[in-house]
Amino acid sequence: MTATPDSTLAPVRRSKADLQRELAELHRRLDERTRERDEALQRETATAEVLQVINSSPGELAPVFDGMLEKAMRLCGAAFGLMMVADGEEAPTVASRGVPTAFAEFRRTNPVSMAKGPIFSRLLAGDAIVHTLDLKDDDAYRRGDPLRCATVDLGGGRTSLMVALRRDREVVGAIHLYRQEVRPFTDKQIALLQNFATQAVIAMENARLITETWEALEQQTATAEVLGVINSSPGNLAPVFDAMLEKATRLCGASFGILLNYDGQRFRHAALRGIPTAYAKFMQEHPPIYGPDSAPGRLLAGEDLVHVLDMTDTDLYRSSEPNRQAIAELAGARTVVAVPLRKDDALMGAIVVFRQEVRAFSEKQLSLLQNFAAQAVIAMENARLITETRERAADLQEALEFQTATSDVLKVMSGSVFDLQPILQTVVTTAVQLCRADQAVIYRHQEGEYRWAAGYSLTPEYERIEREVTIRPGSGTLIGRVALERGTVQILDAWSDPLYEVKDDARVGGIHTMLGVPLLRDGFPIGAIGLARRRIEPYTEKQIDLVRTFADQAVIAIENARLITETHAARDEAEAALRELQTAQASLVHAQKMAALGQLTAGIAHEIKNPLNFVNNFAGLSVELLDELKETAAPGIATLDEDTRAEINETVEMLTNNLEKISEHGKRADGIVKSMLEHSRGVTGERREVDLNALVEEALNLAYHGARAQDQSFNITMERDLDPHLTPIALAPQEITRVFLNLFGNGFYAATKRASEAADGFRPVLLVTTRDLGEAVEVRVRDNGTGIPPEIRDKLFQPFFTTKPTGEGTGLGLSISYDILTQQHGGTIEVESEPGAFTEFTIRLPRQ
Amino acid sequence: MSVSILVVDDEPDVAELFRQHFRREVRQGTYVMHFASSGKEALARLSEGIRPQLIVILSDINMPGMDGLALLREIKQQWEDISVMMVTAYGDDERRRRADEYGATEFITKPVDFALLKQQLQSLAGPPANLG
Repeated sequence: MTATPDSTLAPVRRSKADLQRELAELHRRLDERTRERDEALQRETATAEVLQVINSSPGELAPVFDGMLEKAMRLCGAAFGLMMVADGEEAPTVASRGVPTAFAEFRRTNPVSMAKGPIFSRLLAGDAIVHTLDLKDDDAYRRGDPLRCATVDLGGGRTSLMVALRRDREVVGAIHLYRQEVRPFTDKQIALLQNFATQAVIAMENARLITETWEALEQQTATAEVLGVINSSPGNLAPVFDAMLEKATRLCGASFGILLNYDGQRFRHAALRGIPTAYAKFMQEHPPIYGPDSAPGRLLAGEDLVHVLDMTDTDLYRSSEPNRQAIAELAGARTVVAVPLRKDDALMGAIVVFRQEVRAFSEKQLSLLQNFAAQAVIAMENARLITETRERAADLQEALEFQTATSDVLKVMSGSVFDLQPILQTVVTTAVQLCRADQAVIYRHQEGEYRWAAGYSLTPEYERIEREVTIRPGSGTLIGRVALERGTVQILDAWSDPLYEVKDDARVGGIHTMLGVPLLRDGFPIGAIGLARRRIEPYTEKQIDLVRTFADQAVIAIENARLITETHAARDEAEAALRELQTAQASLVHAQKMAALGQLTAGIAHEIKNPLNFVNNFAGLSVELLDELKETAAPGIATLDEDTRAEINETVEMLTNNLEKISEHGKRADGIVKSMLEHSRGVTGERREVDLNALVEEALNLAYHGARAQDQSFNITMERDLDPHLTPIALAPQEITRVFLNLFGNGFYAATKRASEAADGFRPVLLVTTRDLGEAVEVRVRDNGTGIPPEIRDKLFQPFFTTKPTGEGTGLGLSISYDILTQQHGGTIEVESEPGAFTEFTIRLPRQ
Repeated sequence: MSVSILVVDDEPDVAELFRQHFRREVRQGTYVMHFASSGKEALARLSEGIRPQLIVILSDINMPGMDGLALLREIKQQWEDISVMMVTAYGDDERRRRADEYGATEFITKPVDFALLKQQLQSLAGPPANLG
């Protein structure tokens, strides 16, 4: 520093002043800086606080706006403030602070569009801020603008500052601060408020982004849920439509919604959501007809989207179209949007959602609806494909079941050719199972009537009835109607069918829908299959065809059985005839053999008889002659010497003995010849009615005493089992007695013979049994003797066959008995025997 | 006085048999025995005439050529009064009936009961006292 004395003071003074000035300036600047610093600090604090609020409630703007307004007012020294956000034409208040009660009350009762106010208009016009020094000293106040007057007079507002919230130059809202005195806002305060405005826009943007993310998430969730429902109920569209409509209604902020189906002719309600009760009732009573001017009608005409802002502001409403009126008045519908469900230009339905206020749906909501519509189309297509696949699978399954059933029946048929019943049973059982019937019967024709042949799954009570009835052709019964019409008959409900007469029986059986199919042979119903259901449900063509197949099979089975039965009967008959023939032939051969033997025997007897007579006669004569010789020669012989005399006498004696032996054996031969001649005697005995039991008794006595006469030691137990009800029979008593004597004698002989060979305990028994068989009489002669070995049984009745020692039997007894029984009486004689146990002869004599 | 008996049989030994059985009567001269071995021979002998008086013909039925029954008919047609006894081994009803029909005096079945035959002959010839 350089200065003179004189001049030094002056400059000092000047310097001091300068210094004081500079100091003041420095103080001022310090204060300013301090203030700036404080303001900045406050601003930054406020900003930080606002940011904190923004961060703490992401997506929610109300608390952000509120906090922002509070801070702005504080920092800018405002008495009260408002914040609004543009929404289309309007700019509704989103936050307010410190508004005097009277003014707040005015605002509440007089909703005045801030957006149309003079200040906001300037923002829209492009101003960044509108700083009004005195609201009262202004044209608007002076011309009596109601909002301005209220602001000034009720709110006491004087100096006001409005800052625009801008995003990409577009006004999206505003902050409006008021002072109740005339004092302008400083530049810094203005800048601070602008900063807040910027932050508010950021917050709004954040919120928007967050909301969009949320919405997107929600929509995606909804879509995913709908897809989940589609997947979880494939083929079943109702839950899909329900879920879809619920979400569409909710996400689009609609009050209620309708999902419609279009089948190519008319619309049907596929899902309803939140329909107000009054309109729901109206719809029930008056099913809506969607004409060309209705929303669905317009979609049908080709529109891709129908968006009606106000249902009451439409020609259709004004034309008093009932549904439009009802939906507006009963459901309160105002804004509506309808999107089509379209597949390849074909309308398949529509989603229609309604709002109960006039508020347009956003683009996003519209696209969401369209998205749902697309999903609905996919779901419907899926359902159609699934249904088709299922139907084809079901068809295939059914065809398989039918074929299996058919082959089952065929198997049973081939397995039981001789027995019809299992086949018919299989038919009814299979028919019930495959035709979803509850019971089935088969009736068969029998002399003009139809009777029960087989049944399955009837209630016991009903089956009792059905088994008993005989059905004639007629409309009153299922089987009767089938027989009458000779064709398939379906009765939808037996309980109400006017011609069906046995309704009581149907009630007992609990059956409604019936199907009857005839069993036709050459066009004639030889039977019928009847099916019944415990519900009303007609039988499908496939089921009817199946039952027809069964009927055909049953006819074949019945025919087979009939043919087989006939064949069998014919075979049995032929076999029986053959057996009879063989028997007859055998007995004829036997009889002829016997007759031939008899004739031969008689012939031999005749031929032997004459020479035998000579033998006997001459032997007898020779004895006489020898006697005469002895007498005549006696005197001469007496003269001879003793030796000679003795020799002569001895020779004569021997001759006499020889002649006597010749006589004796000759007589024996004569006895045989006489027996042999019995064969040729023919019927000699006279026939008369006799009591066979008495004849048996008599013959037993004779035989017994005859045997006793020959052998004193003879003894046998004779048992009788004589039928007390035996009526007299015509026969030749003498001949039959001969037969009895023969058989009894044989029995005595065999039993005695066994007794002689057996241990001491053996008791010979002869049992005689008689039985009246009606057409014939049977006599059995049984002894417990030695029995007859099988190998000689065939020879029993042959002449000369005997097992007795020579001289004891002629071998003609049974032969003659055989002749008497078979030739003379047309009867039979059979023998049964077990060697060492018994022999039993069975005689049958027919009544003539 | 003797009477004649004619025995007709194709069996030669029958004659011997009768001769031996009637040997005493023949020896005593009660009966004179004549024999013929066929119906034809019997008829020839009858035509020649048999002496002494013929009281009976004993004929077998079963003979070759003319059988006994045919002979019986022939005899009865020509000599109605001559007694004929039929002798047969076949004692069946048919022959008996026909023998009766043709007028046989007796029907005798073989073997011949000679004792009975002698009684029957006696009753035909009458008591022996009348014979003289």
